Amino acid sequence: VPDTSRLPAVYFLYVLGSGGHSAEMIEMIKRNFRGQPNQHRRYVITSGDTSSQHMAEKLEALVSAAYPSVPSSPGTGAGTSDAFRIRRARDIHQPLLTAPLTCLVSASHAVGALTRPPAARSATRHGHQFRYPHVIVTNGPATGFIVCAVAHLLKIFYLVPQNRLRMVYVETWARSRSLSLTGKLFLWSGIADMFCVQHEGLARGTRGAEFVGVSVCRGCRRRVVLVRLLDRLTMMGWG
Amino acid sequence: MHSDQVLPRRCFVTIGATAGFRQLLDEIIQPAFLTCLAEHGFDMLEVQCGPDHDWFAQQTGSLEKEATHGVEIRSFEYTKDMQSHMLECRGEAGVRLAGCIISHAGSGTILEALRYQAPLVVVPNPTLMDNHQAELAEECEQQNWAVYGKLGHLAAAVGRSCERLAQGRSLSHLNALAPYSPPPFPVPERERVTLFDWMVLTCYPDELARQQHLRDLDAVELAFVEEQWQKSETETAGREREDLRSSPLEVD
Repeated sequence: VPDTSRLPAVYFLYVLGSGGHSAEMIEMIKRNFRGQPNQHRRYVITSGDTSSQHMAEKLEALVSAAYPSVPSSPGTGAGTSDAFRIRRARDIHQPLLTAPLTCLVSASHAVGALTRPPAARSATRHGHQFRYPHVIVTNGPATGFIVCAVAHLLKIFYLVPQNRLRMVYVETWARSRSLSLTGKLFLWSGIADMFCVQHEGLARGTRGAEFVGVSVCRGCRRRVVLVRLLDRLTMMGWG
Repeated sequence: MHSDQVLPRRCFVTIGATAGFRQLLDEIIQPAFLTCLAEHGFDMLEVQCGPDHDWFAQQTGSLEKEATHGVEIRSFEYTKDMQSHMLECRGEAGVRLAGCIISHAGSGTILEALRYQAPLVVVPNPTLMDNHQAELAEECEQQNWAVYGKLGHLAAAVGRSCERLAQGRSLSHLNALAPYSPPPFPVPERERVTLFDWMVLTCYPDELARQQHLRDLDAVELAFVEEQWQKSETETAGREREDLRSSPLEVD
């Protein structure tokens, strides 16, 4: 059983894209969740997406209720959290001509999301360990690819330490036979450290796939894994 | 409660929060569909209509009483409380029979319905250019999570859903579940998904190596314990056979 409670810092960055993706993301976070004082959670939300913001706030309220902490003391309860807004890569109906420009703006905001240290941890004992996220998780929105592409660039130019910004891509449960565009981009570019799908048929059909049908990952190298992150559907008892 | 008291049985139709789905709404007020509902003991049809609510209310308003075959029809545009409407289709002992949720093929809606363990029929919306919704509905059918409902054959789909309930011994419990309680948060450690934690550990290679070693040791220890248990089982079985042989008379 992995135990991260004695590490100096555990910093997750979750990308909450559009509504459908965000709801699933929140469920995944809940399934993985273990409240520890050394944890910081940053939610990246596209500006103007109020529903994702509400979902993040609801989750944090649930966390605070489950892990009571001493106010203004980040070393207790379930750690700290914050949200970072970035501009959408492309608005609906926006002419494609101006898309490269808005993508660049989006990417520059992403740099901030990845590198601005959490305010709540700045003056604390292990504050410098919280400088960059350990793990970035996204499940499909284009924003997720932008954030991860930027993270990848920061790493290959050695602008951030090599033992940070691990990237986990989880294809949304809605895709059972084929990958989404974002999924294809992640697979083709190979920038994800862990590429997950949630349906067996998709795992079989994807090049280089290997089954890890349960929840524990063995040695996290680059490959495609099948994970059951959401409900255990066999509980229905059908068939 | 009298033994012959008939429990309520509800059908809930939800077309989603984004696009309209008039074809679905049209089919569920046809006599073929309503007769099917009545035959399977449904007493209410509740419909989340979306943008076509006014049109739907008009259509049902003009339906004569005999045309509804005893099925009460209620409708509304949207709801913020999908959960309570869906729970009305969850079979609970002494409260209601397992009903049927007929929903568009949105993954969030499907997952929610399955979480409540209510029988589900998934209907992809052909006006959406979303091919993967039809794929998802097919996958649900193949994995036995839901019935794939095709437009024009929804009565048959509901029939199949009810048949599955009636046939499988393992499924009859869906009629008599305990009242729904949301999954606990945080998830118990045994059931927790640990993928993200392993990823964090890759940032601390020494710690990762140490914990992988511990996990492998656990696996070895578990295998050893299992082996011992197997051995003791065969020994006990062997001893029992010997006992029987020594006293061949009374075996109650």
